[in-house]
Amino acid sequence: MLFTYFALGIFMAFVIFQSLYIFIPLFKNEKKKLNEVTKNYTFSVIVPAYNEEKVIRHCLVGFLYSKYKDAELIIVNDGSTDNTLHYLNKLLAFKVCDRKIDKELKYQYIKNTYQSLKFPNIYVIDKVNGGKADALNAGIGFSQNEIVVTLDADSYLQKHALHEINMKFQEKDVIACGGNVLIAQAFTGDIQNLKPTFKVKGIIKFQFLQYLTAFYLHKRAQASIGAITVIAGAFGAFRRETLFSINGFRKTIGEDMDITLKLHKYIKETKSKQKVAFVPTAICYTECPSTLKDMFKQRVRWQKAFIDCLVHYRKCYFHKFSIRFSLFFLVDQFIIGTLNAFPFVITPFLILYNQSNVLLLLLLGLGAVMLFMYQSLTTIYVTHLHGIKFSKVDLARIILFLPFEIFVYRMINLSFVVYGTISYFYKSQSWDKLERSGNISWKGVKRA
Amino acid sequence: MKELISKISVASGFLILLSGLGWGLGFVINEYEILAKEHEGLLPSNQRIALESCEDGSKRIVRTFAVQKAAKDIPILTYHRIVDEKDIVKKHYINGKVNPMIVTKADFKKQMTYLKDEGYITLSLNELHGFLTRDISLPEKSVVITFDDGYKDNFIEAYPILKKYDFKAVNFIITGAISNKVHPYTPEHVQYFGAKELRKGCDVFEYQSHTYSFHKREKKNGVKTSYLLSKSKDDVVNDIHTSIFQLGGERLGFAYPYGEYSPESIKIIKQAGFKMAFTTEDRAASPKDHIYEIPRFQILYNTSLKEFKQLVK
Repeated sequence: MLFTYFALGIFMAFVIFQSLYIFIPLFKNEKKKLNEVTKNYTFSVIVPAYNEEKVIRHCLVGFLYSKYKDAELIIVNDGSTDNTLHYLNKLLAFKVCDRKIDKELKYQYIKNTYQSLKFPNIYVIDKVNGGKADALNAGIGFSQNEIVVTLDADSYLQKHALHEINMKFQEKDVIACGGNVLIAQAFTGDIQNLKPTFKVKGIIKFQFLQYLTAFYLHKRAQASIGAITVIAGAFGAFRRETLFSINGFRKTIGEDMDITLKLHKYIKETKSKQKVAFVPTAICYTECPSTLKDMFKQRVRWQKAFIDCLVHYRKCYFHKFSIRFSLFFLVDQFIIGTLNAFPFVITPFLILYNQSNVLLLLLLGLGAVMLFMYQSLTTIYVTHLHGIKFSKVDLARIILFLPFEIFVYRMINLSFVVYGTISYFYKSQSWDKLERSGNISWKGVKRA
Repeated sequence: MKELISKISVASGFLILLSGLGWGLGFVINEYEILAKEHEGLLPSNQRIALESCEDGSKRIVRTFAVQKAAKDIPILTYHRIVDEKDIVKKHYINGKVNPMIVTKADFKKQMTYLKDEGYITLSLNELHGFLTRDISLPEKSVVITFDDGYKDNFIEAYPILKKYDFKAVNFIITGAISNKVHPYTPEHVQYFGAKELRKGCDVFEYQSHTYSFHKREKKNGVKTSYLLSKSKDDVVNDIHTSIFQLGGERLGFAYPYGEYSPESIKIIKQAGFKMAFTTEDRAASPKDHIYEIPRFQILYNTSLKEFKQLVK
């Protein structure tokens, strides 16, 4: 009986969040209140790099194509054991740089800092390995510009991305922005004019749709409510002074979620009207895992990162975080996103064991499937309005893919969530860094 | 403008989906009483069966019939389980034969069709009582259809047939076996009416007592004996009163479990306020019969249509 009420309760919460994630993104119009640009902020784009030899070129290419003038790129070589540094030197031609480094944040010893002879606004920091958060903190210490952008080594900034971020920061209250992250493998053509394609591996299709939904529906809705749960580590932007007020990045498995939570806490503590925004027009393309094994590693890491934050901030909900944020984080992310995965994964066994609730479970399952399908269709519609336009053939591919998406990939993903949650309590610190293939072949990339 | 319209249609599509879901969920929860609190084991003795607007058998009006040839005696038919032929599995077999208490749906349908075609009327217990006490006379082609125990298949399989022919029937239910929820029908298991099914079925069935929990036997002096005979008088009285209470005070007729009874049982039933009681003696009932020992024909798995015709003749 308790089980039945539980199932119904979770389902109701699920329906409420699904509704928010459909109605808000559908009617929200970011273009409406375009800010007049009165100030061009200066940007420091920080790229932490640990053994990124294969992919480091991606972020360089994106940065060099960027149309934004007042920006510098800082690559932090976090004690790579491969040839990342050597490779960078070959591309950029180093000269030693003697910029004064801010020591306020803690990070590992910096061995050397370089400036590129070829591109004077590109810098490289060579430091002792200390992890991603540590590398970011070193980068922040080195940077001198007003806005700090964090970018993954394998991610391409779209040429207008920094410009769009700058527009958003015209609003005084915005202290940080999440950028829009798309799956690089699902775009083809010229780097200046990429087109989406759905003629890719199933696992990439799944992630592509998932990212589109997460960014075009979920994050836009969360931003409206003031409850962004994570600024993706692949592409985020922060006011530099704010980063210092919250003491930079915490050394943890998921530093991106952690910094987002810190920001929410900071907003609540200072009782300000400040906010964390999301800018769907600021796009970067990132390479997603292309094998199940790599996706498994990535998702387990994400889940561990989530649980780590959940536990780390356990005393903060509802008083040190705003109520809205706490609700989104605990109900949508934890109860629906994580706890719910457990019964979902064991439901088939539950039905075998106890037949009395079969009908209700089947009905709730069917309801969830229909809501997910509708959400995916809404995603396609909303992304279409935002300029990601699929060909008719691709639309047919997407429709045909939806059943697999729900019954195969989502189930696999749920099992990763379950595994990640359990393994957090056994081996929480194992990092499982992703193997990157660097297999993106866009026209124009080679020229850089 | 065009964009706004398409946005609104996407949103309304979602609303339609949501309301469809809400309706479906509500329907299933209501239909299967999913939120009803189910009891472990017997329906608690302090809990009534919610029969709501169902009319008690004792309150049904006695119809008047145009009698050309008055019946001398009336056949009362007794069924237990009605199971579709294709649902019959090993579990339904006893010593290599199908449990005789199961009548197939097809046979049942043939029997009912015969009654309908021959112009039989099906009596309520009130009408039967009037006949047995010589208050009213009834046409020769009268019959009483009864079911014992209150099996779920009576509702699933027999009810639609009876309803179609506009027949009445009496169901002697073991009140403690009634479930609060409606469980999915699984004919290989023994299942009883859910409260909701009782309510839905009461335009065909009237419900009478077949004890609360005493439809059992135990060994006494080496002989399997019905609880009605083996248990103490107080226990039996208690059990019978519980069943009456659960039926909302209804006490028109009682069926002895296994057809076993004694002068003592008759006394208890009489004192409990029942106006009549039924046995399993294979005869047609006439006003000459003792009103607490009314005979009934057992319709069994191997009862042929020919035999059936003979019984109701």
